[in-house]
Amino acid sequence: MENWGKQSPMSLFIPLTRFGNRLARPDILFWLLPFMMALLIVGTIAQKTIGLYAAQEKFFGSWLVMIGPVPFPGGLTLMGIFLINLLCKFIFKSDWSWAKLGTILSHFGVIVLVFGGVMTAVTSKEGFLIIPQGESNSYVEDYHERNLVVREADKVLVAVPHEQLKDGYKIAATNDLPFDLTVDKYCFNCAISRRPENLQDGWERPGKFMMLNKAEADPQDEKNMTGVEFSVFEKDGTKLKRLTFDGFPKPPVISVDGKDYKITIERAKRPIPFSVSLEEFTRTLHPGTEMASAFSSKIVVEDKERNVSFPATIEMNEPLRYRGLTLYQSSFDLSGEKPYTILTVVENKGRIFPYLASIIIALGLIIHLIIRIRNTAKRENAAK
Amino acid sequence: MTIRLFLHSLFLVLFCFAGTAFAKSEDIDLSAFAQIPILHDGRIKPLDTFARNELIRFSGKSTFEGQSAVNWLAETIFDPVASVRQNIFKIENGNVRHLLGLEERKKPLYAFTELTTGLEKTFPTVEQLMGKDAKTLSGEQKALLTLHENALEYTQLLRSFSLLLPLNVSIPSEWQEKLDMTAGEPATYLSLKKIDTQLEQQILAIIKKKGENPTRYTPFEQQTAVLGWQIKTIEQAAQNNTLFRVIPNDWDKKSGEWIAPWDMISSGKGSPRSAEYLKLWQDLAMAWQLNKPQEWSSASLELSYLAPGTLSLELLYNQIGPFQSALIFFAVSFLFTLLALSLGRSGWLIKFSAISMLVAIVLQGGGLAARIILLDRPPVGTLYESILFVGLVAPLFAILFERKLKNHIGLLCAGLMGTGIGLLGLSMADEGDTMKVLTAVLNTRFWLTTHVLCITIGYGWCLVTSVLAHMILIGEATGKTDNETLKSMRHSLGTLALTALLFTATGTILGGVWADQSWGRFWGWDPKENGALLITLWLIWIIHGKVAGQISPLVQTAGLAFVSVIVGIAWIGVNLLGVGLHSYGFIEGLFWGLGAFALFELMLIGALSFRISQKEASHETA
Repeated sequence: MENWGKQSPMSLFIPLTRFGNRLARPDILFWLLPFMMALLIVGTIAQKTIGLYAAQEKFFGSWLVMIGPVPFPGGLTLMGIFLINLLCKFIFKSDWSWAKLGTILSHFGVIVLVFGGVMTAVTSKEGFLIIPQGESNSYVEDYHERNLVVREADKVLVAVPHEQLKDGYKIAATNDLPFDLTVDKYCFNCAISRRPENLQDGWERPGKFMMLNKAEADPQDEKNMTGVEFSVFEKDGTKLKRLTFDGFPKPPVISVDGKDYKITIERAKRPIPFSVSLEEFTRTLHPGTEMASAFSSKIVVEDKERNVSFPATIEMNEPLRYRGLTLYQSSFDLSGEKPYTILTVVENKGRIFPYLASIIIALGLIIHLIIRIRNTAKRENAAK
Repeated sequence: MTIRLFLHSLFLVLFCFAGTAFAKSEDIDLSAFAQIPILHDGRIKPLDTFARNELIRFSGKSTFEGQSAVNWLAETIFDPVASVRQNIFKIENGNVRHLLGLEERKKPLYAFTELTTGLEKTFPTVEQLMGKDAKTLSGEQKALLTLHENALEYTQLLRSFSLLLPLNVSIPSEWQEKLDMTAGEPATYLSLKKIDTQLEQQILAIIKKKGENPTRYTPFEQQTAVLGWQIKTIEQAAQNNTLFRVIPNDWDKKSGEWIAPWDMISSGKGSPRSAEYLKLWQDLAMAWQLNKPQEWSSASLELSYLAPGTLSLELLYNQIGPFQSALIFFAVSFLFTLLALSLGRSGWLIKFSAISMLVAIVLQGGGLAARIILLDRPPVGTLYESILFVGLVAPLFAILFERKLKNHIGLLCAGLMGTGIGLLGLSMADEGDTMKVLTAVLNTRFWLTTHVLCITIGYGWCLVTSVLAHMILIGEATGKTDNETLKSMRHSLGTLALTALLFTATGTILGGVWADQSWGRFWGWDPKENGALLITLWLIWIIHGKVAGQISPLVQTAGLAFVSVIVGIAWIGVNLLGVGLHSYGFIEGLFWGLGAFALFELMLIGALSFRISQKEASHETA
């Protein structure tokens, strides 16, 4: 390499290689792993108190996390460094020989795995379909996102995401909306209690006897009942007090000039490109117990865009995959007259990667082990 | 509320039922009785298993005062008057004993008769506790709640056959005639049921005529009223008594539903065949009460005909106790190898140790095979089962390395692991039934065999790695192992670590793939997943640290020795996070046990490493 300066195309690569080599240094991984393990332990223990969803967001889905007063790199930072280190090591420092085939493969498998993780984090969407037996649905509701919605007939006039809601939040009247609305009390998770008599002034049923109270958020996000108590100021200055919450069967309706305005808290919804109807939901119990041995939903998928319709059965561990969506049996409700099935709907473009990664990594490690054992045997034979 | 009935049920048992007049003869043969099938916790099992589990639940032991569990069960269901005086309730929590006003004993075992007043007194507290989240309860509160639940279960058991046990009632002769009873023949609820309607009408007529004050009744009227009250009381007390499901609901179809005697009578689910079957139970009860061994044997034999073939395997399994027996042989093997190594290899000691090991492995493997047959699924559905499985594979892997190393270290490792894991399993078996049916999401043979087997095999390799690393550290620190052996052991350690990584990494990812199949997400950072990932990261750290030259061979060996603690945290420790109601005392014990183990390992590995590094330093200066 004495005259490398004359080879102009190469000269570009050399600083790049040097830079890459530096990023590929094994000591980066060596110091990174203890941080990862520490974060993993702290993030796992934290789930006991703050719940899985919150812990996941705080520790693993963040760039920086405060553990007490100490700032600590979050899961995204650590995974980012890990991916760069691994990629550089793989590209610049791999020993491309047959003897190292196992190592190369298993490292490649980890890259595939992490890449799949990134794809999932960026592209995956999750929600659920609630379908009563004998009915159909083509709207997926979000587990986490809720909106305060004002509707006139079927027209959505206002939809405020729950992150924006707080005590004192105001929605001003517009051409379509003939009144001002002020949120008096907002709770992401509400507990309902009886309204004391001295606070019943200005309320009508059902809010007269029902009060929303701020409660601690449930670790399982879908269990949180979001709600608001609000005041409506009509143009003539009348003040009405109302309340509404997620799943409220009788949401308040304000009538102005012969038009009805319904105010609800709703899970964010998005349509899927086909509709699913539930023929039958069955829960099989272990005999003599209340413990389920299996759940299954007999459904019919109707895809009008493609003009197809077909029956399917979704069971625990047996999802249905159709048009890039995967439908899983996740919950049910047998308390009412009709059984309901609740199917989780996931769209994830990265879902194939873990499958590939597990095969590649296992194969790589097996080859590595075989080469190692064969080498040992050869050495031992030579020694004899 | 049914719990309210504690005093009531004691009263019922003591005053309504006739006790046996005889001491039970030794001739009563319980072998057929033990095999009678019962549906309990979702599975058909022999009465032997049911009796053991119930007795363990109440008293923490599977025998009672030297008698078998089925013997205790027979007494409880057929002679409740004697049973309520037996000290079978273990109350370990001192505060709960105080709360119930119980006297202190050497062994904290109490009879139902002693508990009822205290149970009644503490019921309001328990009612409040039931409304609370189990996670917020203190140890004492959980102990109290568990005791109440156990007592409730016990009263169900006591009343299982209250419909066909002789009653301690006097029946006016007019009624005896209507019942076609000969004098001296015992009356049972079932026989009195025939005159139930007439009795009720008559009592109503009496009340109409003379009012509700019994002092104005004639003796016959008084007896009639008492009889009516007794029948109603027994009937009410038996409401929802569904514990003792020994009668098939539909004989032809295999719906798998079995019903309890009371359930059959009160819901009218019975068929002529069920009635015949119930009659056999009545014969059995009478044979017990009147102490007639022959009648007992023929009735119990006939009842046990319904048992599926696997029940005799389960009986054998119960009798042998394969895992407890294996533990003894593992321990013997370990001790003999240790002795042989410290004495400097004595041939017959090693042979004896190897035979013990073989027996232990056959027992452990046989036990697992029996569980596969009985439960009809891979033997890794619960934490306990995974311990049994690792208890087989870890010693097996160590034996594989014994074949290569040929210095008995592998045998020593196998014995040590078999004993250690066996003890861990034993501490978990106290929980009662270990053969549980699985929740829907776990109820999948495919994923149990792929992911769970892979990850538990990974745990097994990790433990072998750790134990071998300990042996290397001890060998180096004491200087008793020659360099050649150490070198070959170190090489084996590297291979072991890689194998452990292969299985834990693949198993971890397969876990994600399973999660993707059932919940639609590959990785959800839940404790189980994170535990498995922790082991993988630890192994990657140590293996890469050595390859990259960041750590010395000594630190690498120490790091691999410490894998035992990492596995402990990932495998057992994560279960501490989901604190369940029934396993509170157990979980608490596990927490301190795991903590003590981690501390012990830290000190042991630290001390050995310190000693070795000092030795190396003195070598260099020399």
